Amino acid sequence: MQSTARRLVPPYGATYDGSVDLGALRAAHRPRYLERTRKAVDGNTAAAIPFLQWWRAAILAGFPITPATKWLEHLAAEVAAGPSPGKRVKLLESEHAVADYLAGVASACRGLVVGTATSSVGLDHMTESIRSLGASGLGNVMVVDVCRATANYPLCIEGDPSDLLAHRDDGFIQVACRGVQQIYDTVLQLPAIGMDPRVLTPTMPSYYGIKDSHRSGVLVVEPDREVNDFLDDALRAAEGASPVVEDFLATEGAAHPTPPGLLDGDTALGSCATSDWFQGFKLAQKQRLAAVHQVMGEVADSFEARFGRPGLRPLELIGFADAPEIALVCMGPDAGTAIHLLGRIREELGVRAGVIAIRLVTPFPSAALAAALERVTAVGVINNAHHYGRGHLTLDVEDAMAGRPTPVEAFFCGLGGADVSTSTWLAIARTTAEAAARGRAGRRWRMVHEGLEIGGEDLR
Amino acid sequence: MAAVSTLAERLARGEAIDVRGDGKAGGGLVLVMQSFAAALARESSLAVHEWPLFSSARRGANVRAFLRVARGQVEAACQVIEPDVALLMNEAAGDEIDFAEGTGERPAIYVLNTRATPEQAAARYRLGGRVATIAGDDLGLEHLGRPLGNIALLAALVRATELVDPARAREALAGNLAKRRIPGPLAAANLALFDAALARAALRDLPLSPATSHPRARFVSYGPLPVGAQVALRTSHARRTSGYGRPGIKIEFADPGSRCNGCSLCVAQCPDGIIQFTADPKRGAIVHGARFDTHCKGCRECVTACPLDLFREVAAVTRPEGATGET
Amino acid sequence: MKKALPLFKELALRDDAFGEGHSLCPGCEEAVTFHALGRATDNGKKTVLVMGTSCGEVSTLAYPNGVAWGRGREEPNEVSKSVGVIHHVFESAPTVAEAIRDTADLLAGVGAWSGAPPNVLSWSGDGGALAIGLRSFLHTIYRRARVALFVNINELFANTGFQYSPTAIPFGDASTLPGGGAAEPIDHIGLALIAGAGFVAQVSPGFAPLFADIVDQALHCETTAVVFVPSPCIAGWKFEEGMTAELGRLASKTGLFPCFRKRAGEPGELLHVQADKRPPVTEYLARQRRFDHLIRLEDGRPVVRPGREPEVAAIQAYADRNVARLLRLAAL
Repeated sequence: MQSTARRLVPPYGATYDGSVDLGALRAAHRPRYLERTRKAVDGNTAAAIPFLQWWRAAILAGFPITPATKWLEHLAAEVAAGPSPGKRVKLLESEHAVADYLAGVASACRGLVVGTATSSVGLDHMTESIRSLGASGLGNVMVVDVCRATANYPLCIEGDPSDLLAHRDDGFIQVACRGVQQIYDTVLQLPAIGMDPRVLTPTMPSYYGIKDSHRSGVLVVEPDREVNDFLDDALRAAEGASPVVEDFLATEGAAHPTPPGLLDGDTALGSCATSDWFQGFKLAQKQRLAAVHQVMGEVADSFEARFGRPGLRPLELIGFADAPEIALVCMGPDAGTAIHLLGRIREELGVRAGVIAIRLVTPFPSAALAAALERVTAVGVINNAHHYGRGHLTLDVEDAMAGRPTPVEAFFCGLGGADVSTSTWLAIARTTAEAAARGRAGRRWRMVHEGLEIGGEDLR
Repeated sequence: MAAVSTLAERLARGEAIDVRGDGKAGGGLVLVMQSFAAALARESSLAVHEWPLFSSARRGANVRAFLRVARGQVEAACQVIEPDVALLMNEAAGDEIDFAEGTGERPAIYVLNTRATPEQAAARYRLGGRVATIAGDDLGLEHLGRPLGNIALLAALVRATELVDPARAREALAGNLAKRRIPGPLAAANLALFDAALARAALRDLPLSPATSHPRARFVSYGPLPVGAQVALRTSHARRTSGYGRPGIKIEFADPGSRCNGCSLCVAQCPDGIIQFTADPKRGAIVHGARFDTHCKGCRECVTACPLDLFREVAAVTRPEGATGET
Repeated sequence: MKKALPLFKELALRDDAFGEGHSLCPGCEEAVTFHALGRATDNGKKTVLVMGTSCGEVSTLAYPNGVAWGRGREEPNEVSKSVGVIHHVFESAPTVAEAIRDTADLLAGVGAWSGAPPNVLSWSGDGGALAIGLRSFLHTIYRRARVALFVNINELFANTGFQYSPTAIPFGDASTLPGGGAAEPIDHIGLALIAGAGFVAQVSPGFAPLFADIVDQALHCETTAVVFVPSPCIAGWKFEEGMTAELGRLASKTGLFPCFRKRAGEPGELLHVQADKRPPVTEYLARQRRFDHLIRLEDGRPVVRPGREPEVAAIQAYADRNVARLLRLAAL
């Protein structure tokens, strides 16, 4: 007979403590990595490994789509080779079904972490489900977006963040990663942020298809014990944390802020509301998303303390030791090329240049970016996704710099995985430096490929 | 007639007139508002908007609708929160909300589907200004065989507001009925009902006072909201759904001879789960009543289900004139 | 030991997980079903109910004070009496139910859930299971998920305002298909059987004893149970008050939506309908104003409108063929 204690958790209903004994699930975990291990893996594998390591990730779900499929295949192979009653890979018939399935697992038991990986049209196929999840409070859901050019006309299976950016307002915490270590470390940290009672928001780590999903690098894998202790400690600490946002949690819910699950609760998720109320829910959702900045800092600090590597920070700043005159704001693997070329850019253009690689995409780290760009005299923003205007990232940068006269040159390159070559970066840096010298941008946007400006829009 | 000249004068001055109606879903409010809008729209100098406060209500739950009319153009899209004209289509709706909310600062026009006189209605609902009443459900029974008071209310609305010539309103109604594919004889009965209501509607201009003021509850904040709208259970139990039923009737249970044999069919068939019984482990549910006053929607499934005819539909006690409306 | 009371009477005495104060129409058959499910699930096991978007959802799960679910009058002391309800997105109910079952099974498998396996049910309307939801419906069955899928069939998309549904018998008026069309309904029973459901049934709550038995069988099925619930819809079909259960029974007796049950691998049966002598469909059609363009009651007798005999005959022919076809399916 289950020994349970009913506890009211206003306004969510009752929780039956003890009805789900998560300790038994933890005890059933079959550790995959007993020690810190270095191994060569590709991006998809790096994103999959934490799911093998977490005792909380009992059920993993997926449906294949290029270039994300290897994530699912790696998990399937590993679990088949070393089965355990606490780990299951579930195959569904479509991405929409996968997202619905994630909602079911996550709401059944809120202590579980459940996730999948998809791309492009697969992410789009989930849209109604993930837009709902974004508002649901189910921070234990993770959807890995292996960024890929969207849809059709023409079809392209290579990587750009048009899918990530098309899903900006789905409500997920979105993070851009480059390289296997960032991918692995980010996936490791995100549930500690998303499941924090101040946040309760699902997470979406991302990396570009092919350029990162299919690129191998050397990954440092932490032992299962440390990976799990990191998350478990973070969640334990969060339950006692004083909330940042002023909402229900701050007043009545602080004693046990995580709402009940379906199995261990007497509760209902997914009520409908009229226009009298809906807006209030959206305001509360925005406030939870805003809490990410604070919580992410705490989680990153804990990560660095435990693992001795940089934690998840909103931006990467490279070349900022000497107050650069121009900054190139970009995202994804091609940022690495810019970083590689930084010395040459400085020498050939005779200008102090720096690179800012965006990590936290949503909620956009406006304050951090504005601070980083304070003394810069021109900004080049590099957009890798189609946009009707000057580029998603351009608008975010302009917003962060609201009021400053600093010229912003907007560039498009790398769409659909197009190569962002040395010549392209040099051209971008040169154009940005020219804007700095002139004191204003030369065009509203430019598309650059193989070092040539192939299109754009003039100033009005 | 201070209220009347104010409405027409205000339209002439270029102001918009705001109308708001409250009723029960399925109770006819939509037809009233649409017909009134159609009648107003026949005047080519007027623009009319008519729209609902959207809800998932189907039958019996409260509904609200708005209408805004002005010379030339209607631009404003916000809700009507300080109506110049307030309608009460079904009195049961008026039990749950204040249909006069937002009025009282200046004379308004109130049009009610009720058996009460204007003075009685004014006392019951604290109204000052022009009060028009019509026993629409009775007229509906008389002409259509159903207690549907909307045509009658439309007629009273036309009389009380004096914004539309009654003949034109009648034409607009006929057109609306044809659009809804109402067959000939039924349409004729509707029009006869309209004529009768025009004649029988009672109007009074009554004084305003502090008692007839209905200030709007001002929004301050949404308050703390549960994440993802996740909520505790059982929160509907306090909602009295007895107002969902057809007006003028109620269901009763009578078993003076203790004939109920525990067949339990009424318990199985009641959509609201309100049958009251004693559990007999050998025979089943021995019924002694139901929560008629609070939650019976008058659906009659129990009347049909009971093989011993222990449930029956009876005429409801009419609202005592001048009383607060409790039966 | 023989039970003192038949199941449906014993159900009436249980703690219902569905209460009053919901905003479903007066006489709504969905509400009757909800009470039956609410009582049947008071069987010593935790209950989790997954609601698809439907009248049932918007009318029983409304913020801030419109949740009609919950066993008893206040939060139970034991988890086995508690209820979890979730509404996700429109066509997701079968998949979400499957996820909950998988989670409960996995937790039980590692000793993290020591109670009995919970009741896991999903509720969908016509659209949610058989139109937009057909993918999730069939694949959850195909994967043999151990859940009970309940499908409300009222031949319309009621929640959105009574639009045409693929479960509709021919020539019923619908807002998107005035006067209805000639298409016959989708074969939902056949689809569920061929997809591999362990138990397939069709029964209207108007047959209270059979309904209780079938719900019980569904909750005990070892794989996927599918129960289709033909539910007369008073707002959409427009009939007299008090006729809901009656019309549900008539739908079976005429052969349009006969009571049916079959366990995989065993012969099935039709109930409350005869192979040959049945009430004519006119008795059913004339009582609903959605068929008013074809037929109406005059002095209590169905009278077909002049010139509409072919449509009525087509509906009768469909009923006849439907019974024959279901008899063959039952024998599969």
